[in-house]
Amino acid sequence: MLMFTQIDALSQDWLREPTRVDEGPKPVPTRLRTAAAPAGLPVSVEGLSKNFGAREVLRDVNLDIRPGEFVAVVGRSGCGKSTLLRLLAGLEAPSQGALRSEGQALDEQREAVRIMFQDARLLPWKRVIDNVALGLTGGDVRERARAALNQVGLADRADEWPAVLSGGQRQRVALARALVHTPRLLLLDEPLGALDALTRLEMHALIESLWRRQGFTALLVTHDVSEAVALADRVLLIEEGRIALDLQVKLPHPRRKGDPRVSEIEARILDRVLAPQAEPLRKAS
Amino acid sequence: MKIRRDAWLGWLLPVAVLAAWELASIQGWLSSRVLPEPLAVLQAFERLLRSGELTQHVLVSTGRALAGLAVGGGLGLLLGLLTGSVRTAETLLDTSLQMLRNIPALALIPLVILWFGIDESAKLFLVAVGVFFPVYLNTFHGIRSVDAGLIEMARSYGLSGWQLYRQVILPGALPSILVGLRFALGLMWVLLIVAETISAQSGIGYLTMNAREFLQTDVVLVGILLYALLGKLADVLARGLEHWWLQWHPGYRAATA
Repeated sequence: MLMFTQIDALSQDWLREPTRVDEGPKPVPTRLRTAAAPAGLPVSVEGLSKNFGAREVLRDVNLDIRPGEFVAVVGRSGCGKSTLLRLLAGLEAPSQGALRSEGQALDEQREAVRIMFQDARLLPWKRVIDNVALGLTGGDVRERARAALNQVGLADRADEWPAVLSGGQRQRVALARALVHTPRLLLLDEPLGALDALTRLEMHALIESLWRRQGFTALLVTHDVSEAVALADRVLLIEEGRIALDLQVKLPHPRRKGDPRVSEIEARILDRVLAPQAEPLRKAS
Repeated sequence: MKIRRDAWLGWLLPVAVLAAWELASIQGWLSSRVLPEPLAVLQAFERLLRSGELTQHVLVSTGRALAGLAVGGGLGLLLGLLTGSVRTAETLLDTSLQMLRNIPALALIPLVILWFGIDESAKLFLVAVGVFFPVYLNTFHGIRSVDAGLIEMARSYGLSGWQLYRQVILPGALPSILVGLRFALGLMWVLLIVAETISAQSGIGYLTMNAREFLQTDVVLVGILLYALLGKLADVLARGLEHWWLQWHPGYRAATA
């Protein structure tokens, strides 16, 4: 709890900085509201189910995410973890149940939710800076985009085409593109899956430091348990469309790789992931 | 170094052919009625250029070609955008257009003469029909092959309607549209040549058909070479557009990078 108030204080501090930059031209009303509201968006998932035809991907999922919490969702491929994220992003509609936030439908908060995809999905015909500025409105669009690029350490590549960037750089641009909207909920759909091990560690540190500074709520979908434990306050394991494990990770950030406490939690989750492997046999009979 | 030598090698064959041709003419192996010597073609070119005839005919032909391209290509682009973007338009129009596509434009000539006679509108119609389909098909295909992931991303970043169209769908379809344009430019000259050969009072086709009556093979050759030059010029312009508009595309950037 104490940690959260700290984060909030930090994030408030951070929020004051860009608003001062923005105040030159008329501030956009939605941004004012965002700045005034607490940084992280709470999310509550109530009885959520999703079917694709006859296939049930999510079954009656209930979940409460606190503002500013970093939640990682792990599970085997096809377990429904990506579907959960796509539902939260509004890219799919739930078959049953509701997604709510601050007493209203999560759909009302579209502007506060941003997603980072597995592939960077940069528009190849826009230069890096214009990719970051995508969907921004207002007079100081380029300055804001430049500031966001600076945060991910790519200010010097602003005028390049995405095609010349490496995979890790593209994902950093995608991160800047998401953060420039000052999201209150950031959804990460295995954004580091295609990167090499060293670049992944770099990205972990970057995402963690930006999360700590900005205090947004983060939901990371990943198949990599060690990535989940390295970053998240809370790890959810999804199995066959249900939450099979909900584990708090009460270790201070940043977490060192090889820390025995981290390894211990990682092992516990992995045991749980691998345990039910024999179960389908029993179920089939 | 290597590229330089290769470029030089490319010109070896044409120069050799020209030299053999000149030699054959001088030796009298080749009658000037079949094929005049290259020098005579060059002289005819100079003569026509000095008299101003050449410029006038080239301007008339180019004007016809561009007018046909504007009408046919413009319609192809519009309909391609429409059927590519709107499902109902596709179901309504695409089958009919695919049927019409299989009719060679040149097969329409008798009908065109009946409808329009032999004046300007007949030539315009023929060129327009010919360039319509490559532009239409490639525009349709281009719109359909825009990466769905990019559209999904843009929507989730708040883009919709015209903004989505202008920033994501159109640029995504552009490489394909430009391929259509290059096809259309090639067809444009072919159709114009045929149209001008049937009947015309001006233009390169008129120039060559007129020269044929007076057995001026050198002028006929000037006309043929002009078509080649204009075709090449159109291609160079289309490539220029590709270079300019598709700078972002790794496949088109080889020269500028």
